[in-house]
Formats: sequence, structure tokens, C-alpha cells
Amino acid sequence: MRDCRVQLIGVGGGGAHALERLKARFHETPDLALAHTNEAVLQECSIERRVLIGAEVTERLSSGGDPAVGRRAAESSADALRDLCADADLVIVVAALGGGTGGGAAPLVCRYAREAGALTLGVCALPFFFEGVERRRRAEESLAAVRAEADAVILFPNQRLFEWVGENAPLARAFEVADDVIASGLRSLWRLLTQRWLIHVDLADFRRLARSGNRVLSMAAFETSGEQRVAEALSRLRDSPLLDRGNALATARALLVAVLGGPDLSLNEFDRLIRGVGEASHPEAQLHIGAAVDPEYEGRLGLTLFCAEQAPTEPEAAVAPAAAPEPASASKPDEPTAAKPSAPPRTAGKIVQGTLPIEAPGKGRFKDVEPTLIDGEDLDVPTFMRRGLKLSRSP
Amino acid sequence: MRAPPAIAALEIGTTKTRVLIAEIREDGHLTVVGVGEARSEGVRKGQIVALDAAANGVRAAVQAAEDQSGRPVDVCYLALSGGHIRGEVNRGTVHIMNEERLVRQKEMEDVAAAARRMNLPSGRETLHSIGQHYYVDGQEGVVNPEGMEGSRIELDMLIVHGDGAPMRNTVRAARMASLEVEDVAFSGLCAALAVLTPEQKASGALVLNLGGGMTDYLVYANQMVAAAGAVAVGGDHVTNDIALGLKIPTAQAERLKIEHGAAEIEPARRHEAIPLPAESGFPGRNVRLGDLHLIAHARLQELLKIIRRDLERRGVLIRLGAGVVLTGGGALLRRLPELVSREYNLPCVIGKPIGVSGLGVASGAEYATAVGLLRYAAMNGGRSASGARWSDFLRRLFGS
Repeated sequence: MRDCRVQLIGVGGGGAHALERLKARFHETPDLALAHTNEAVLQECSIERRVLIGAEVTERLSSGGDPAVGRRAAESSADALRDLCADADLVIVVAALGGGTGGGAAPLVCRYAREAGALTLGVCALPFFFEGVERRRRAEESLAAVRAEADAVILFPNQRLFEWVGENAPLARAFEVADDVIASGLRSLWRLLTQRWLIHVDLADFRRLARSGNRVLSMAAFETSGEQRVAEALSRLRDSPLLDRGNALATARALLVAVLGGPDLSLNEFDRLIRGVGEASHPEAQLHIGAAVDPEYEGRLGLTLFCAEQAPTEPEAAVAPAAAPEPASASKPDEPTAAKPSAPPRTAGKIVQGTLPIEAPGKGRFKDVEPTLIDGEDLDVPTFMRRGLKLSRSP
Repeated sequence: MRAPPAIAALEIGTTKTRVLIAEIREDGHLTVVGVGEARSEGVRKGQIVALDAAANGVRAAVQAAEDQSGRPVDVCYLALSGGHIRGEVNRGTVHIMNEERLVRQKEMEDVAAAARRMNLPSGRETLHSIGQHYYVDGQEGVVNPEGMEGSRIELDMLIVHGDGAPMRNTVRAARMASLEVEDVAFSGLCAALAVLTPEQKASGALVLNLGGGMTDYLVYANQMVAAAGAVAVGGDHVTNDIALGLKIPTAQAERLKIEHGAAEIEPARRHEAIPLPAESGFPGRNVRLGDLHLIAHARLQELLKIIRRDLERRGVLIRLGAGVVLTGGGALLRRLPELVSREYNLPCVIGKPIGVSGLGVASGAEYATAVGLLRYAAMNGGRSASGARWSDFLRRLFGS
């Protein structure tokens, strides 16, 4: 297998900040590039590969918060942006939505990356509540545009980070944490795709996950160390605001978990970790596990987790705006492109195929009233049954 | 000394029937003097399925309110809900024909009439028509066009409409309890009138009114009602899901929901066992907290997504600067504000009725509809007690 080449492109000021943070924090990083309309901002950056877009549109200044301007800037510099995407297997477009350049240009960068044949992931930060309605409105519109162009998006709603830093944190600290979380998440994803694994995960696993359901992924990544590293990793996983404090995990139907440990990582620890993840997640979720040992990780444990928020069968998937360029059977575990000699996809818990906890659709007290039908679904039937969520056996 | 005039608000909800009696001071301020509440029977998903059973609930609630206030009630305002209720924007157009080509009173009236004339399928009735903003020669966002020059004036009107038959049945249930109905209002609008501050109305807010069988929603943006709708899914669905999922009687499920339910899963406590006591026909056993929360979470997340999609389609989701306000009995479920905040990426709080005194036991989110209905009544010249004057809507609804 040839090495997987990952290209990160930070678009606009927010994207540039996050990637600069990534570069400052880690020695080794994936290929980094920046695209911005504002020459002054680009000149302050240390990342070498950078593209000034739309020089004649904004006269080398910012796009003034207008996504339409950001979009025109990207269009006018399409060739330079296409060059950035050439030869990459995975292009990750990083932008803070709500502004002009990030919000306007990022969807187009995603399009160029997909046209170049790369799996394309949009990593989008959404504004804090205090940034105001107008910015949030623009962010929502830009997000819809990114979703239409990228294979999948990972959202970092900045507001949720408040839960980490606390309500009374200084403003600058809040933005710093936002950049930090994105930077370490991206770095973990890159390591996951380029590391030599004992238990293998690769781009095909990630692609399958990315294209399942509504193509919105949640992610969490962190490191722990010391005696209690497994217990701590599990408790941080359950408490992560980015995974809805365990709710995203408990309802996700597909998960990708990468464990990075030092030579001292014991089988028992690994086992406890994976069992813990299995317990916190949905019993029928497809769980892909990767594990690697890195001498640098002596005494430490790195855990990176992605989950697809929805099962591939949910109705939203059918109206997904951009069809995958390949036959869209991405969700089938036996898809040929995903077949590989190493570890087959694992299923946590019991393998249950389409059996519901109760045979006939139960309507209980609603059986004698007019059904609530929306988009062809009978909403009187319990949601957990229609979604095939499995309950534990009665204790 | 003569007592100040009083008005009464009646809500025949899916689980509770509520009556509020309020006195109107000369300056228009409302003071609640009587509160009555009774269990609803014969109501499913906000609609009457058994008239006499529903009327019994009305009688009991009216009696309680009358006893407390010492003021007899024979006329009331009535809240209406149901999954059939929709809000849609209709645009009326009028060409300005006068010589100076100026918008005058006549053009304003004509365009309002045109905007109200929405083509509705037979059996549908307009419940409210709420003006949005004007366009003069296509120029958007004109608040008051009077005196402006142009050749064409348009007005967007939010038309809230519903099926006539179920709305008539709700009125009939009140009448069967010897209560005349002076006017009706959409319960989602009432809830918003009860809890939103002027600032929230200005910067944009969504009110989710979570009842037993219904969830109404209403959006205020830019001081105006910008969208409205209802989904026939409510707290009863959560209870029903719990009963079916955990295979326990409905009454046990309801108690379990109130005592231990939550809209989000607590991973650390998911294996905790909750003992259910034995009762007739049920041997009693333990259920897992994680299962209970998963069932409720799935249901509520789905409901929120359905409403979110609708708001997105209408382009109002991005206008909610002040976030989401929850009302209705369903708002009291633990960690629901957190779930809403995550699903909508907006701040979310539980609403409290404001602007009315003497609420006492009626000061919680579950009384928002009834309190808002009082305010609606007062705004619409609420004069009641005796001498009912039928609203245009009721006249249309009953074809008289």
C-alpha cells in the first residue's frame, strides 16, 4: 500500500490560525497550505505554502465578511487552489465559518479537491453565540455550502468549548482553545492515516465512515498518561462536549477508534479501553479499531475517535446534496474497495440484523387515533424502534 | 364597588385542561384571580376524540377556578392546537392606480385583504393572519409604506390555518360544558405571547411549546411572528415509547419519565437500576436508567430535527438571535435545554410567563399557553363575563 498523502488547507483567517497552531505545537505535521484574500495575514504566517486568492477582487485585503466576495476570490484563483489539491488522497479544508473568506471560499476549495479525486473533508468551526446573529446566520449558510461540496464535514461548534474552558475564561483563551482542539484533532487524524498500525486502519475505513449517514462526523482526540490512563481516557471520552457528553457516542452507528500507545501498553489495558468504548457506544454500532505502538508514547495513551452521527439508512441520507462520485454503497461493510486482508470490521456487542425489540410496530396508546405521518414515517411508533436502537436486556 | 371586568382563558390540552380567570385593570394590566386544572380525558394529540369526556374536564377546571376567584364564568377565550395547524407566508399584490401613485389607506387595506386571501384546500380555515412586511415596487422590508410612491405594493402575510372539523370540536367541548367561546387563538402563539420579552421578539426567538400530545412552535423575528407550526408529537409519545420499550404499564412509564427521565444520556449512570414497584397486573422489576434516557433522547432529538428542518426551509432558523425558549409541561424534562441547545446550536432556556400578576401556582412553563391566551384576549379588547361577541373566525368556522 502506498502512503496516504494528506493535504491540509486552511482557508481564511480562522483556518490559518488553526493550522498555524498545529504547526507550532507539533514537530511533524501533514502537508499544510493556506489560502486567504488578505495578504497582510498571510505574511504573518509561518506556513510556507500559501496562496493569495482573489487579489483583484479584494485588492489583497479581507473579504469584508461577505461570503459572496470570498467565493469570487476563490473562483478567480481556481488554478492555484487546484494545484494545492493535486496528488493528495485526502484533502482537509479547515475554515471558521461566519466570515467572508472562510465561509465563501471553503466550499469551492472542497469542490476543487473532490474534482482532483481526493476524499474531501471539511473541518468547520462555528461561531460562539456571543459573536452575534449575523455571523451565525452566515455560518449556517456557509455550512450548507460546504456540506454540498465535501464528502463529509466535522463540526467544531465553538460554543461547546465553553464547557471546557468555563464560562469565565478570558475571551482570547476561548479562541485559543478552539484552535487547539482543532489542531490536535487534525494531527490525530493525520497520524491515524499515516501511522504503521498493529491493527490496521486506513483511508478506506475513514472513507466509508465519512460517506455514511448524513456525512456529518463528530470527533474527539486526546492523550492521557500515568497509571489511570485507560480510565481517564474513557471518562474524557464520555464527558467530551464534542461528542455531546456521550450522547453522540451512544447513538452513533459507525465508529472509528484509533489507539496509540507506547511499548508499555499492555494487552489488558487495550482490552479494557476497547470494551469501555464498546460499552459507551451503541450495541449495534460498527466499530473499526486501529492500534499502533510508538516508542515516543512510552507511558502515554492517545485516543482518537470519529463517529458518524446517523445510520446510513436515515432519510436525510437520501437527500444528501452531493452524491459521492463512486457508487454510493459506502455503508456496506463488505464493500469491495474496503476489503483488505487485515482486520475485518468488527461489530461491538451482538450481531443483530434488523431485528427489533418488539415484533409488530408498537403504537400503544396511539393505535386508535390518526397517525402522525411525516416524510412517510409513522411517528407514533417509538423512535428507538424505527431507528433500530437496541435496549439492554432487562436486568 | 363593582369588581373590575374579568376574562377567562381555557386550554383543553392532551393531558391537562386549564382555566385561568383574570381581572383587567383600567390600564390593561392583568391579575389572575382563579386557577383551575383538571386531568383531560377524551383528548389525543391535542384533538377531541370524546366530546363528553373532554367537557367533563372543562367543567372540573372551570369549577376550580370559579371557586378560587368567586367569579362565575360563562364566556372564555379558547386555545387551539393540533398537528393539522400550519403557518405559511402568502403575498398579496395591489397595483397603485391613483394619479399621484401614492400608497394611501385604501391601498394598504386592499393589499392586506389580498394577502389574507390565500387559496386553502376545502375544509381548511384561517386561524390567524399576521402581517409581515411590505414591498414597494419590489423593494424589500418596508415597514410602513403609507405615503410612499410606486406602482405596485405587496404585503407578506403569515397565514396560520388548520382543519375546520377538529377546531370546531374543541369549541364544541367548551360549549358542552356550558361555556361560550368568544375567540380562539393558536396555542403556539399564546405561549410566545406569555414568555417572550420585547428584546427576544426583536432579536429573534423560537418558542417550542411542548404539550402532552402536541408540540407547537412559533418564531418571532424583528418584532414579528415570522413562522408557526405544529407537530403531533408530545410528551405522551415519550411515555408511550418508554412503556413499549421497557414493557411496563403506561402509568408506570409516566411516573418513571417524571422522576428519572432525561433528554440526554448520562453515560456514567447508564447501568444504574431503577426499581419499579409492583402494582396490580404488574409484578414489579428493575429498569436501566440508560435505556430510559436513550428512549427519551431518541424521541426528542427526532422531534427537534423535524422542527429544525421546517425552520430551515422557511429560512427563519438563521434569524434566532435570542435562541430558543421552551414552554409547556414537556419543557420540564431534565436536560432538555441542553439537548435543544446542541441540536440547534443556539442558547436555550425554559420560559416563564411574564407580564401578568397573581399567577401563584400558574407561574410555571406549563401555564404559558393559558397565560398567553389571557394576554391575547386583553390585546384583542377582551371584554367578556357575559355578552359574548363572536369573533369573525368563529362566525366563519361555524358558517353563521
